[in-house]
Amino acid sequence: MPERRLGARGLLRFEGNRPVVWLLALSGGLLVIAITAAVLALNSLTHTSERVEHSLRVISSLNRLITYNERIETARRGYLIAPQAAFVKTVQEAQKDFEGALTDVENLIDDNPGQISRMGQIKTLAAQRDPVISDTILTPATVTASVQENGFSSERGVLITRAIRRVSNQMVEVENDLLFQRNRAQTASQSRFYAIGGAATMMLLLTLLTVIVLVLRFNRELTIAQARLKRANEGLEDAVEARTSELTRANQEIQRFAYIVSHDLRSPLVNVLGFTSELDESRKTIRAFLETLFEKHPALKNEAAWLAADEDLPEALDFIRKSTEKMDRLINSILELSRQGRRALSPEKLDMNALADGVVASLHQRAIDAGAEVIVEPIPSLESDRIAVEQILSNLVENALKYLSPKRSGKVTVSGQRAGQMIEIAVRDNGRGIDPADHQRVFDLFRRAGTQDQPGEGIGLANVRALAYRLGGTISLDSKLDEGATFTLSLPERSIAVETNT
Amino acid sequence: MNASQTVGIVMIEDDEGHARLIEKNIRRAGIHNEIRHFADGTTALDYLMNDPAGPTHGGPVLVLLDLNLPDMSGTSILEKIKGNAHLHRTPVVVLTTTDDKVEIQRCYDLGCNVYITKPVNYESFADAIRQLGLFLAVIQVPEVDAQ
Repeated sequence: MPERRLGARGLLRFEGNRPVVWLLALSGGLLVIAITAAVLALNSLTHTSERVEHSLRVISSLNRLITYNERIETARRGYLIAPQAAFVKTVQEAQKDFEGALTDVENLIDDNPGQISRMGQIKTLAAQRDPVISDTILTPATVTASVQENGFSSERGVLITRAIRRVSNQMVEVENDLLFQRNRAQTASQSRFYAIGGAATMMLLLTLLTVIVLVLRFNRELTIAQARLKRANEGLEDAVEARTSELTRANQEIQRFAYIVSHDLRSPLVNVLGFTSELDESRKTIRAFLETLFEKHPALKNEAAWLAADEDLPEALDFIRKSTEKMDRLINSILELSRQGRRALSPEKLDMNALADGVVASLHQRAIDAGAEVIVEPIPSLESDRIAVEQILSNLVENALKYLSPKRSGKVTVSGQRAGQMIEIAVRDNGRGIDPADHQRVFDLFRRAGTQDQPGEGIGLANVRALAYRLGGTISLDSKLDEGATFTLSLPERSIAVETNT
Repeated sequence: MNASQTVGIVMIEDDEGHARLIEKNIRRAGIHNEIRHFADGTTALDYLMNDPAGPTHGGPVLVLLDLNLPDMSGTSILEKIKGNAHLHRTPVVVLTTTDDKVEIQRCYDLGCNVYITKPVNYESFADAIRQLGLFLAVIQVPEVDAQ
């Protein structure tokens, strides 16, 4: 079965689709990771950059501090050598600038305890230097004398300046160390950013590439499968067509067979019945002869011969005739069924109300004889073969009238309703009903159910079912013993060709 | 009555029993014409076409024809009779078991003169044959064209 195999392959392909879904999910995850990593790395980069910049500013401020420190000392010494007002001004300006630089540095290094303590030292030293500078400006002679006596290297202002230089140089060194570390950190976080981002991007590209490859392959397989399915479908159509024509042929064969058999069976029956009658005629002659003979010659009277001619022979002949006649009826029924099957259907639009009224009118006398009332309710119109539908309805109504219950007055209702694409025509009676065990049986040829007090061969419902099937419909039965029966004929609203019979 | 005296009856019937019953009932109707019985189509056609005593060379006949024959179908015999220049006016009574509409139509189309279905019921059968016998008693059959 090619369609089976295709189905299994389709299933596999569907499963093959899963990696694509997984890979797409994975690439989504990777994208999130890459973006997060980039944001984090960028954050850290910005942070380290800020730290580096901070260090540079600290160093620059410290350098200014150092410069102003030296300028103060240089201007003081100049004043000592040549006490001019210009030097005093320079000292005062440098002192102001020094204070400014000091404040700058102090503001910048407030997060570093080591530097704060060094800053404290510088501030203490600067505070100690202020009186020295005042002394120098107010009493330059005393200071000069002291320098001349002890040398510059032991002068108090020089010592303080040297101490400030030393401490601030230390601070610059510390900041330089920090700068170095921070530079390294910056480089490291940069590399990390590149590494993480690069790796994520690479993996993203890889997964996307895999997805593209898988999707392309999936597409190709899909195209191949579609082509295969199309071929299989075409093959299937051919197979169905071949099978249908085979069935039609077989069906026609059966119909022809039934027809021929019926005729060939009938022919011998003519003989059986004919010669049975001839025999009876001969018997009558013999009987009449015996009658006169025994009357005239009572001595010759033979009881056995008389019985044979008068009772046994007619009885036997009667049985032969009755059986043969029954056989003839059965054969005629088969012939009729076969003829129904051979008749070409000609679907037309049927006004079911008029059709049902016509059927009921044709059975009017039967209804009167049975003392029953037949009601026709509205039935939706449909497209079908008129003769077949009439026959079905006629059979069903006739059956309903035939098997009424003696316990109540008969009532037969013909009604119809739409059920999707089908029209359901129900023939309901309040008659003797049919045992559920016999519901299938009654539709079989020559089978009947219930008390056999009515004439019939068990053909009607078999014919009804065969016709219903031919019209593309169904017939169903709902009944219980002694509770009436409802036969429901379900026919397509639009005629469909069930067979192509000629 | 003169004509009927000379008309021979050709009965083409494969069933011996049927042939016997038909003959009996024709005789009962008081018809004493000669009845020639053929059980198959070939010999019957041979008689009709070629036999010196047959209708082509001899006197007029009436054909009683069964449709279900072992060697050929009755309709093809009918076709041959009606297609024959000498025999085409010969009355043909189709007497068969088939009561199929299509078959009946076909026979009349081919030129059959009467189509009778053999009833299985013997009373009806005997009746039908007797009436056919009465019919045979009054029927005028044309002379076969001399060759």
